[in-house]
Amino acid sequence: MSKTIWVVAQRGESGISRTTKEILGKAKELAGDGGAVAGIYCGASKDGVAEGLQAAGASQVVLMVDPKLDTYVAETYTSALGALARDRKPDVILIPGTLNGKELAASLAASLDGGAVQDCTHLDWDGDVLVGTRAFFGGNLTATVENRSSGPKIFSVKPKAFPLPADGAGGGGDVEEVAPELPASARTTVVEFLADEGKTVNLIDANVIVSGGRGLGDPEGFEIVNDLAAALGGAVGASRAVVDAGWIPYAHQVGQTGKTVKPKLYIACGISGAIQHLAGMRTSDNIVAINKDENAPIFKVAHYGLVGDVFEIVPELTKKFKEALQG
Amino acid sequence: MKAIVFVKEVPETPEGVSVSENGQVQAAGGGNFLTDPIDPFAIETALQIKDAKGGEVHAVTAGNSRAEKILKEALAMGVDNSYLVADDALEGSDPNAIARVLAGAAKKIGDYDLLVTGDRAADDNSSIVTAALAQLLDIPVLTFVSEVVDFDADAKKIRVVRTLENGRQVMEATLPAVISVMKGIHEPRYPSLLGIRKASKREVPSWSLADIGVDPSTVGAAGSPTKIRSLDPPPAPSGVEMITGSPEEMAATLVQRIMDKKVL
Ligand SMILES: Cc1cc2nc3c(=O)[nH]c(=O)nc-3n(C[C@H](O)[C@H](O)[C@H](O)COP(=O)(O)OP(=O)(O)OC[C@H]3O[C@@H](n4cnc5c(N)ncnc54)[C@H](O)[C@@H]3O)c2cc1C
Repeated sequence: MSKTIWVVAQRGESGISRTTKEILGKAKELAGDGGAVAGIYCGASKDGVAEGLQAAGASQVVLMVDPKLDTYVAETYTSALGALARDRKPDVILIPGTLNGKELAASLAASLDGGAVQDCTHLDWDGDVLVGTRAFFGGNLTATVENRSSGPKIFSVKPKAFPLPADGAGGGGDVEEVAPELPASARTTVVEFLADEGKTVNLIDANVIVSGGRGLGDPEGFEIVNDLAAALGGAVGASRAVVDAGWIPYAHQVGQTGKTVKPKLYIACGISGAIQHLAGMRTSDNIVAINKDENAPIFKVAHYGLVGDVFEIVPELTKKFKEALQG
Repeated sequence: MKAIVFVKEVPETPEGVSVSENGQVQAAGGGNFLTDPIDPFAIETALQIKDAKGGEVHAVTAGNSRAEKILKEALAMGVDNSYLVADDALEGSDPNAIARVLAGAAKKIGDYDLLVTGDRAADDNSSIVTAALAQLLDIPVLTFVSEVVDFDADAKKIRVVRTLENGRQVMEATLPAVISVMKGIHEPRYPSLLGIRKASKREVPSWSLADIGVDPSTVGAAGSPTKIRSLDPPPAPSGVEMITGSPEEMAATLVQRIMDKKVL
């Protein structure tokens, strides 16, 4: 079986985003022998894009470069990608599952008379049908969803669902520039972008997250969590209880109504482990729970459990991690 | 100003939720369905624009007659009219197909300036309907809105803030437009006792697919482009290693484990 799989490229700090690369790695597997993986890019500048796409495994690259595509807007991107897809009829289109990526997946699917499956964490062929696995009901259930659209099957893919391909996995194939089909007039405009201050809240990309809950007692209790996160070069997360109490901004919230994260190491400090919190972190690679109640539900999903007082244990951890990382 | 808010019923809890042979999500033993917790935020957003600018707000859902309950709740909150699209052919519709139905209902109501949805449904979490609606109706879309900065019905423009992963984006679109709102955009009002009493007496018109001009073959189990094959509990955790000792000993052991695994 050989298929043509498109991966819609998203910009990253240099070249293309990490999630785009992860998806390219998976796409290569899904395309099969003799299949094609095309990296499709929309943007105002093509610097480093084709190289990045090729290095991560794209066997073809299509660049649609236009000042009107500078920032993602549903209408312009749907128009450009939709026209190309109608023309070339790929079997599958994979899109990084950021908030904008999900908007694009839904919009593009509707424009192609088909359907999208969002936030996939697995993708597998069942015969000729591509099936995605995704969190349902805030991760309390896992849904297996088939896409049987008559046109391209569109899936958005969760960041960190798939491993980064080894550098140079690439096909080094053709790079083609195509003039994008764009709407005559722009009905949607980006006025400005106000970036979040500091990098501390980038939970999605963090390799390490140290999260605090009501067990920290009061807002000042977060100091021990901040210290441990700083020692590990990680980000600070939080339960909804402490966000609602105003101890820390919403941007830090992990869970069903906050962010879904999958770091290499998640350390939960004074968090009980309500099902809505677990929904946002249970797939983390290594989960450490620190709680004074040995029956706290957080221990059911943890890999390592420490029963005791956060104020006694967390500062010790900070000290010992610092020593270990310096040594 | 004319706004339409799309609401949705969801199972009360994930416990016992399953999927039927044709892809329809079911609650345990036919269990309880409630208004999606995000919907009051969508309704409040439309009502605040109405309070400031005048106009009318309509609520719509697609499903079966059971969903009349959530439409009465919308009426109790203060929407002017509620409409139910109920048709046996809807059974098994995925969010992509539901968008076709809601687009049909929007056209039937007609002359709208603003369509409002929640940013993601509590059960499905898909965030598909909003952007799909925009495509089907050929109007602009603004998803994940955390603030409506300005709504100008005369100049036919809306300005919003979207909260994205790494910052806040201010965007403007011409009206009519469709937006999805995030939790916390406004504090939803409680329905008044009078509102609840009045709502209980209102008739909720029910439309079939034929009434709204939607071809039944494009919706339901057969017309949906995607299908949930199964819903399963998440994979069982691998089992916890409880680390014991004094705080210092526990810390030392854990650091050892993490360093040995080369996690960092
Ligand atoms: C619709 C809905 C959506 C929700 N979404 C989210 C979400 O996105 N994210 C989220 O987190 N929650 C969410 N919740 C809330 C969730 O149900 C819990 O209320 C919340 O996660 C509890 O936060 P917590 O663990 O900090 O507090 P608690 O449940 O109060 O737990 C505090 C824990 O700290 C321990 N503790 C106390 N003192 C100490 C100490 N000195 N040392 C060690 N341990 C100590 C206690 O044993 C306890 O286990 C949602 C709820 C609903 C209904």
